[in-house]
Amino acid sequence: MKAINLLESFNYLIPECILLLGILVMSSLLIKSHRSSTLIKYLFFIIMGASFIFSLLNLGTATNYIITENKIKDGILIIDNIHTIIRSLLLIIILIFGINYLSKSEFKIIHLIYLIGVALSSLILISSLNLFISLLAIEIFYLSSLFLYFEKFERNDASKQKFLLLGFFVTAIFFISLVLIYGLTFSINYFKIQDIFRHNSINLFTFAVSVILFLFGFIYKVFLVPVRSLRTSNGEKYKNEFSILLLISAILFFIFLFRFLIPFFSMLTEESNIQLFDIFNWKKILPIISSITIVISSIFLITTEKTKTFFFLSLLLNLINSIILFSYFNISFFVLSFNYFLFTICVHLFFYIALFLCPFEIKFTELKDLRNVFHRSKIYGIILVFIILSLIGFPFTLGFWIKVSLLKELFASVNFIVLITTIANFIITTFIYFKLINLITSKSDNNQNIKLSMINILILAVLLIGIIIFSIEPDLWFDLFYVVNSSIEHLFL
Amino acid sequence: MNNLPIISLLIFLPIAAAVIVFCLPKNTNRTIKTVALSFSLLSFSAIVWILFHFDTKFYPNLSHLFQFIEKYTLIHIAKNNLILNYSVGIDGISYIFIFITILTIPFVFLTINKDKERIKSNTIFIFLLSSTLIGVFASSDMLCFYVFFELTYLILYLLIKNQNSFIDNKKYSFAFFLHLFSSFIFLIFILGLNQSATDILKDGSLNNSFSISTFYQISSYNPSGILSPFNQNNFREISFIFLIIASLIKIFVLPLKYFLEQKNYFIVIVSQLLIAKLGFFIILKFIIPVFPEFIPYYFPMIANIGIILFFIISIKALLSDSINKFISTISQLYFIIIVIGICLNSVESISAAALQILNHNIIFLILFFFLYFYEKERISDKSISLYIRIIPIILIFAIVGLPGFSSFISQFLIIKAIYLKYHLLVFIVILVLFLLIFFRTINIIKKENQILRVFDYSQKIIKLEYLILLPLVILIIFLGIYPNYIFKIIYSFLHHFTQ
Repeated sequence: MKAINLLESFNYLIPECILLLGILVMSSLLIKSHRSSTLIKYLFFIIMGASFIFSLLNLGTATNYIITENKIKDGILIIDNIHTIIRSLLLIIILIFGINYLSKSEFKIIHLIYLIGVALSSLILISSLNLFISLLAIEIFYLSSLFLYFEKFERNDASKQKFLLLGFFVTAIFFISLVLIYGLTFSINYFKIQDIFRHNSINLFTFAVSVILFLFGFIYKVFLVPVRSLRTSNGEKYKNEFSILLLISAILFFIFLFRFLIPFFSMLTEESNIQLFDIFNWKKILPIISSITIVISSIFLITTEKTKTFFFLSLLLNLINSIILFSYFNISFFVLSFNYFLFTICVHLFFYIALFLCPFEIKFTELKDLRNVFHRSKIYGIILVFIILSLIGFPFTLGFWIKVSLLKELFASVNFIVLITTIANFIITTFIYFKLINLITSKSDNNQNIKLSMINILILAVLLIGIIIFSIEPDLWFDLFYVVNSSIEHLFL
Repeated sequence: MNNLPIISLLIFLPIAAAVIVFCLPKNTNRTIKTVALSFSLLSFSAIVWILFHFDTKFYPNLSHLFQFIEKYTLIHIAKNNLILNYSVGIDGISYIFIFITILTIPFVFLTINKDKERIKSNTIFIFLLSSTLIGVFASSDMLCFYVFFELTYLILYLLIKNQNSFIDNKKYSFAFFLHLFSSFIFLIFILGLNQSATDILKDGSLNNSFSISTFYQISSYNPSGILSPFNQNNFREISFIFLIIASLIKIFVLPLKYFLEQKNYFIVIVSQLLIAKLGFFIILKFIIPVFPEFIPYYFPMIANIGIILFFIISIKALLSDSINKFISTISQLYFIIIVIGICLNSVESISAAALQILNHNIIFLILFFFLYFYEKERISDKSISLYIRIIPIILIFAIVGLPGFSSFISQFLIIKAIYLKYHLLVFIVILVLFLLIFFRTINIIKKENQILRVFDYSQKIIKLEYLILLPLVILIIFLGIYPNYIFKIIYSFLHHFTQ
């Protein structure tokens, strides 16, 4: 097995290498730490920023990079377009996390190492094709985030020990599942497992048990720290920062599902010669269930007054819609609905970053806090309105292209249940987002200015430029996901 | 001269003006006004140039329907074969609407004066609005049309938000949501048509098209399309009904009275005189040509409802005690007459309705000007001009449509069509109502003392207003005597689609 098959295009791994180098530099500083703390803080930002910028540079060349099948099967790491996009997203989110984490109180150099550890491990996790490498990355992620958590939330020694012991226990479960999978398929590479599954008969029950064990381990290790931190009563002021960690975990989980489980499902469908979504007559049941969920969640969405609840319900509503679209199981259509799915996640992420993650003095805990934002800070108001317009699908935003192409394909496919639910969902969400725009542009007595620091402006500018580029050149978006699309097509053919 | 991109000029001149105004410093109201009026004069000269170069001949096929065509590909998503063309061209109906827009814009600039703080921002918004509106009326590609259409509403929204008097008006927000909703219906309609109609490309291959002229030709529909007449299980009837509802929302949902309550007449002009026309435009340009088979069944029904509404609203107008309510109801009456004219579905009545749209615009522009914008401070007792004596009289005659004035022709043709299709009694009742409204108009203006202002011979009109009012007054009389040229332009579009 080759260690890294991408030596010919090594520059695709530069962001990871910079982070690795960063850990080394920080560790050397740890030994003789008489440097001033602000200098070290800047060094940390330089390392993270350089990594982020290189990941952005890779985005530009990502469209030209098409992997062949052989490379996927041999290697440990995969670099494709979805990876490059998610990597940039993750890096910017971790950067924001770092800024938040470091700005609230004094810090030690070891914190910086933990932060870089979180970044590096999540980058490796999203690019790994090998279960063992995934496991290692998950362990690093778990430990780094756990130590970061311990630093900010006061826990006694017994509870710390409990965390560590449970962690080791789950690691053991991980190993058991890994051994089971290896014993069944003689491989720990995602794609090789898939190949072996196709051509040999394997004990389905044992395989399912091992996958479930692995999934359990994954969920425990990735979600434990952010979920615990949100539920802990002390350390209120850090909760917002640790909710960023939850976001990172969610992205990691999504990528894992995409890399491992979707191929697994496709294997199942081929094995039994039937389409998975037809097993329980999904085509008919799913739209009905989803439309009921849409109605319920939209009622909650209209009545809610908390901004975070609004945000998550809106994300949920859009995701349910994309699930309805998935249920219509046509390959070319699947690609488009998958694009819609990713678009929803990305734009909501932008929305989340713009609303919660920039360290403003003002918190938007309730929807009415959003009043008059447009007049309190023009730039900030414009960015928010632009993001929401993109969600509505206003012309010349990315949302418009996605929605139009989706509806166009729906019309061509003539599936009326899906069409009607999708249209109904679009109308409901339009109404809800319009309400939000109304709030942002309305006038109120709250005239407190929103002061943006340099770093906030930078983050918001990057977001805005990203959205505008995709809006003007929507083909770029479809190009970026070309490899993903083609691999999905390959999986389902 | 024939290769001049005149439509693009019409669309982008206001944008250029908006950029110039944006660059001007804030407290230079006089300069802003000069720039605004000079640019609107340029646009006006361009539309007059088009008037003299417009080909009004009758052609048997649709090849000459759009004139002054320009077409460029803006965005092409190869994966989905989705193409956004910047494709513009003028036909008879769009010419009338573009003419109305350009005629209204300088008047709007006159009225901006009232809110001294927002002159600059309002000017910029009005320029952008006029640009997108001309884009809407001139598009010959459906997707391009939709893009301009949505941008129009965004700019209108920002414009209204920019006014001081609109703080959290829930009714107004809901009205805007209804507009967004109807626009969404329109998008679905466009995509349905796109799926149903195919164009033949230069290399001989078939391609799903967004071109409006393709949708007009019945031969371009494929048998499997969901809006294709050849498909037995098509959705044409449902989409026809939804489109009618959507366009009626466009016409009636931003009612005048909301704004009259707010006392912001600047917005009244913009919304009522520019935006409400969009609904009529959709009916004339898309519903009548694309769904000819449902018109004999549904349009008489709408006309019946229109006539009942006409009775109700004219009684409301007769009973109304304040001038604001009276004017809003009269404006609604005009709209209902237009709807009846369209729904009677003959070439005569539809072109009369189109002319009535133009009349409504001109008459209400002058009316608003006299009632609300004419400042009292400018009164001087000495100078009495003949001009100022005549205008209000012309105006009142024009509102009720006395012979010799522009609205006479259109109202006469529509009432004639009513006479041909309905019982004699209906005809007589409508005539009586018209007469009653005529007397009521004079009465109410007297009662409100507004007549003193309108008929106040001692007021002075400044030169600029004189310049802007004069063409409108000339138009009222000219169209009353010689409406033929306008009719020719309208016929050049309509004769393809009506009996």
